[in-house]
Amino acid sequence: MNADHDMSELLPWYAAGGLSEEGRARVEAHLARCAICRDELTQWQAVGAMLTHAEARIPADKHAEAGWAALASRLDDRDTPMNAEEGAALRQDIATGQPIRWKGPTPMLTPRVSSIPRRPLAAIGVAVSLVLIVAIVGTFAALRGFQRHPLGPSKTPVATLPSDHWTLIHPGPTNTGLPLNAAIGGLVMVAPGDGWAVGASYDESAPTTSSDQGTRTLLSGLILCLHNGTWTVSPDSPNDVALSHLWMLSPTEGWASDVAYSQFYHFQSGHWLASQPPMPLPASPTTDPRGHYVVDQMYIRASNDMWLTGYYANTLTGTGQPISLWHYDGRVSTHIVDTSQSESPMPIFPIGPDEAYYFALSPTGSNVVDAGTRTIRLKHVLHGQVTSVLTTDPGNVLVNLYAAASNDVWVTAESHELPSKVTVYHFDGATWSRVSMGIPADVWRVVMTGSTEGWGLGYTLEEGPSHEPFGQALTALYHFKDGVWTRANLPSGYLFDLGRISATSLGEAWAVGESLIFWARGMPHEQGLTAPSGGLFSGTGFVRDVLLHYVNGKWVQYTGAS
Amino acid sequence: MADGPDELVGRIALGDHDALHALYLEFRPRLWRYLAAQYDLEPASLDDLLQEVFLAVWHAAPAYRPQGRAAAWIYAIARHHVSHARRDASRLPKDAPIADSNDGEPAPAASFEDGLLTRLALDDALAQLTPAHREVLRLAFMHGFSLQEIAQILEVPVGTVKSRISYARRALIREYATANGSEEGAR
Repeated sequence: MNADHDMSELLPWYAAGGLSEEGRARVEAHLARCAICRDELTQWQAVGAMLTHAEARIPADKHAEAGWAALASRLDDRDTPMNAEEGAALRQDIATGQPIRWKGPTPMLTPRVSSIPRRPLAAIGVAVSLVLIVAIVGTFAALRGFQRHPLGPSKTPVATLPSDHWTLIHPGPTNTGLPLNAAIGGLVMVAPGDGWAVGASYDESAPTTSSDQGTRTLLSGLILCLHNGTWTVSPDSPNDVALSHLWMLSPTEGWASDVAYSQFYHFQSGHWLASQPPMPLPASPTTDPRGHYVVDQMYIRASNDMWLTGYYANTLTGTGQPISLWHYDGRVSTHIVDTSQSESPMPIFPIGPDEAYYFALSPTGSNVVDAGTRTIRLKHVLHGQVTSVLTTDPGNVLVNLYAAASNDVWVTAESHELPSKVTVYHFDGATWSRVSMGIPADVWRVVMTGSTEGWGLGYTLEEGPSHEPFGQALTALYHFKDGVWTRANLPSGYLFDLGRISATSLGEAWAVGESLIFWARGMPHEQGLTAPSGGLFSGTGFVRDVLLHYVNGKWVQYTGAS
Repeated sequence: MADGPDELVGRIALGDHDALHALYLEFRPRLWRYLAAQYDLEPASLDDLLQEVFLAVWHAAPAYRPQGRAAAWIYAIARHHVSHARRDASRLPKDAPIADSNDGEPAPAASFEDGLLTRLALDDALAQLTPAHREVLRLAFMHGFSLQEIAQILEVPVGTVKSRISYARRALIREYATANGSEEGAR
């Protein structure tokens, strides 16, 4: 949740020594105060060592010289020699030691393009652009279930098409019933058929040059209201704030905020209005004006029951304090616990007034075995007192908590091994027990949406498209109900993030699905191309959210008011 | 003059054989390691393939449009050719672990104990990954490519690279620790 934590994405490259000086400095500043990332870094270092060790066994290349001799004999005239004007510019750059100014994108279907000599596929030189084209068609044809045809020697002069041109290959869902290019951050059901979601709408532009990835700019923040099964955009939606977090205290009161918890909106008396933060940020422990408090996560359960974790950061030095957990009772903020370097509070899950659980990650050392042996404790906070109530099996990570009541609490944990094993724990008010749910082997996350109902996100390793934008493992969703797991039929083309699933009654749920909007390069305007098998594509895209509704035993994509 | 890959591609675009030779000397060993590890190619097949890759670089250089470093472009071409070769001839295994196959020369070994105790665990751990997951790790760790460059080479969105690399880490660490015993697997 903490934007700074995005730094963890750089850890593989930090471990591999591939970051710029600036990148390294940023990562190190983050590592100085983040035990989780320090722990992860040791794992990445071990991964690097493993790969180095493995590659040491690759047989040596003993044919390089002979290979060059054979290659040199084949360097005859090119298929597409450089034109004189471009060649002269290039020659000048090289002669003067300037950075090479490569020519810009080639417009689509200009006379100059059509003059490029054509060669059959056998000519290796055209292979790059052709394979791109072939592959795009193959990939998306496969996704759409088109019949595949084997690739044979092509007579189609597709190689003459410029590779700079972007074509929208996978347009995504056409009717989402949502504003333009919506991204949903939070979704909460408050009653059967009723709920709220927050997010933002974006103006997306297609890429225009070969190095362009397209742009996405905020159009408007979104507050979406679900009533009787239909979503509408609230006129209270903010113009310039993308919303990420949503807490509904009751059907008549709620809070929303941006991703950084810096701007808040309060729902009461039927309207969402910009508001001060619902709870005060902890005061700075020093008088250093450069210090500021960074909220890591916040949870609002009631006007007199709010929680946050965060830390002080110094804008000049980049250093921070250990993460602390605070509770606000509507009048006073109370410091519950300051974490040591060895234990960081993970998500907080309030379950009653002045009562919450949180996951405490406890790195135990600095080596790779931590990933398999560290334990995650479930901590219980009641009236400011913290006790450790549950310790997972070594290597398991707590991923979710659902509390139907203080004597009906579900916790799920997943293991590092693959397929991940999910362990479910249940608290009946007196003791914690491990629940045998007979979870399908390929489920790696379970979210309980009721005391006897839950959803499991998994994957299947069935053969997917050979070169896929969606990954080889296909998403599968399983439904746990009345003690039985069944695989749900999903509308095709959506990935799920089960953090955004909400239900208020058995047999009904809403979730956010993700679809890829995808542009590819080198694709001709004309339709009706034969879809070959396999191949590669070159593209860029955005993720676009859709709302999915589980009702009458199946998931359907929401398409607007019925 | 020690030109970098970008300058070499520029000279190749102008038809400079020496530039291609320099690029070949620099990149052939890297591509050899990459393709041998990733696709379990026999040395003879690999040799043929690399010739086609550099021939493709020669022919495609005039139309080169930089998206990043030229190195990523060269790797992408190499990958296209493997894909092409697979499709045409089905001569390559579809999903191959790192191989010990060689052309008569014993694979360089670490110490004997290392070979026996650690190698099994490494092979097991790496073999548990899908080729796609192994590939992102290799490109990042062994070939020095950035997230964006890996996305360019693999022709997938950046987000896909991120999810693959994250998944691969979890899988690799866990498999390795399991196969090697919990405590000893630390190093």
